[in-house]
Amino acid sequence: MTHIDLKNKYSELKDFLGIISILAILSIILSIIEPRFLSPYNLRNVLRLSAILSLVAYGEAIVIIGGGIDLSIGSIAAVASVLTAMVARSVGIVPGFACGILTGALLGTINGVLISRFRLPAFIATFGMLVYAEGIANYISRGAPIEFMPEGFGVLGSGYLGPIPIPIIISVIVFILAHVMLSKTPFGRYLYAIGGNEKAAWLSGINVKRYRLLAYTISGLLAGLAAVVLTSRINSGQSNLAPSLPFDAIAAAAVGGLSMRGGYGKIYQPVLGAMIISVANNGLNLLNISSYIQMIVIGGVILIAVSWDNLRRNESFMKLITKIHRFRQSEACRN
Amino acid sequence: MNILKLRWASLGPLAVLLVLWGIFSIISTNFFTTDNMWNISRQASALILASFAQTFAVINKGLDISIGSIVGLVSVVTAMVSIEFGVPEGIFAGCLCGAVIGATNGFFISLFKVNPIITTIGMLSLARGMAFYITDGMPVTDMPYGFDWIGSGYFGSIPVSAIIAVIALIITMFILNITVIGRNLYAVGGNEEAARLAGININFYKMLTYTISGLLAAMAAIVMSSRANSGQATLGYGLPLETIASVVIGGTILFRGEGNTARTFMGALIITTIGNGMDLSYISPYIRQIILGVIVIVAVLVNQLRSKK
Repeated sequence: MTHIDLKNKYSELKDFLGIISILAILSIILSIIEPRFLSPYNLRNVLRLSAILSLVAYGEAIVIIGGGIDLSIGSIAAVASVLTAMVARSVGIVPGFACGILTGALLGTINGVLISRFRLPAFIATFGMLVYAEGIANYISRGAPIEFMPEGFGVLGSGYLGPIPIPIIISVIVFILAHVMLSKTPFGRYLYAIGGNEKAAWLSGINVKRYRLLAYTISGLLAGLAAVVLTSRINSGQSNLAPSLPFDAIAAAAVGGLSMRGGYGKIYQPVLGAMIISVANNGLNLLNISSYIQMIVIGGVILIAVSWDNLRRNESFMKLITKIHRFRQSEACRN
Repeated sequence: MNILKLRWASLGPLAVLLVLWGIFSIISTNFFTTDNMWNISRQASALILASFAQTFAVINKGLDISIGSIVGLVSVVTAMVSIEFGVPEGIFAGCLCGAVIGATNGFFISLFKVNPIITTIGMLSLARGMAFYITDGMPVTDMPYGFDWIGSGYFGSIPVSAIIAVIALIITMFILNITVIGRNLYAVGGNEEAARLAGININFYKMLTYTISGLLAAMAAIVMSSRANSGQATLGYGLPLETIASVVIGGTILFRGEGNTARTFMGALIITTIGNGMDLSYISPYIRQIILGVIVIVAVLVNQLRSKK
């Protein structure tokens, strides 16, 4: 089957509007079914959580655009969380935060080195990291959450700057940086090139190894940042901080319309995807639906979102859709 | 077949196994006893079956990450049906369940052309969620008599599960090496476009690959549930990594369309031996996890270096 390029100027706008409308419809339905959704407390909560999720979604998106995948962000976050808590308790809050972010960057770099220099398949390297990083996190923390954080530790996650929760500000800053990086800098352009056609990118002189490495470092760093914010929010370091994080990140990217093949994608996609996922999760929580169903839903969402993305790019399928559409239109005309 | 490749493929993992036996017998006197050897064979059976499932996905140039979740779901389904209707019915239901989930994977992978890794990641979440939902997170106990025969029973002095693993080995080797289906599976995995041009129905064989994978995962689940004499939704958590480790340590290179259940068999034995040896040496389970993850990466690296010669 052939792969079409959705390079039509209007198709991007259509995609954007499509996703925004999904978010809007979801929110509207939710507010009707459960009015508590619209309470300021809940809305702030949802925004806060979606801000945190969008941080890792950016990282995942950057890696996917470059043609790879990062499954380890959950475990990287776990290690970062544990280390942040321990350092914050013994040395200080700010060193703790810095430590968490740096840990994330370090682990991400390890991934990047294995993948770019040793040519390990992205999946294996990050999957291996998922496993042994979790082991490291558990080992350091001896399997128990780290509590009794110093005063002020929770500022980053639960605090406000004026009326706006801090995580949202962080997320907006990262969004702007990521957008500039992807669309204006050479790095961004190279990333799209590598994701689109690695061989061609390499032949045109792009240092594929270096930029791949950078992509994974960034992903790790953002996972560390998300971990720091989340750890601050719950005021304790945990080795099972967010076990579903990689799924949520991939689902966020997929729902937002990011193509899993790499080489395509805009930075607003994971943001919108993160918001949709957070709203959906929040809705399921409010409706008291079992968290097991949430797992089922996330899994189903990933499958459906990626299938839809693939089908959209498939020529025969789109021809079929247009035929049906035109047939229906002519029926309407005749009446 | 190249004599050099043949020698490594069959002797390499065997040499590693013997070295491991040596190391662990020195570390712990309990290791090299008959009891422990049968123990290892019983522990290995479930992993062997699950790794066979992974092997089929690997032959198709993909990976099946959902194997662990399929095991969890089949475990609870088998247990619940066994309580209601009887053990044979439970086993049948479990196998059917595994095959259906596998077929669903195959559906998305073949018809919607979704990346197998992403598909099975989605299915991982979905199946695990279903398993928890059906049981509300509680283990299924009060199993009828005979449920634990497969996992804990013996045929003379040989554990039943070991016999099942060996039979599975023979059957899968037969399918893969002797039948036309096996040849076509390798063809589709090796070079999809060429296979299509040769007239092979790609979608059918992709569906078949993942359905078989689901079925073998179901068999692993039945062995594990039988051994624990209960149905548990939490079963199989470590399986995705362990099965990939088994395939890789057996000498198979990933994403090449190659794979062989005999090699995977050896790989699974090695992994189980390592786990067993570490248990006997009282090493922290966290360290064990770290070592396992590192082993996988090292094994893949070694395989890649080997293939460049």
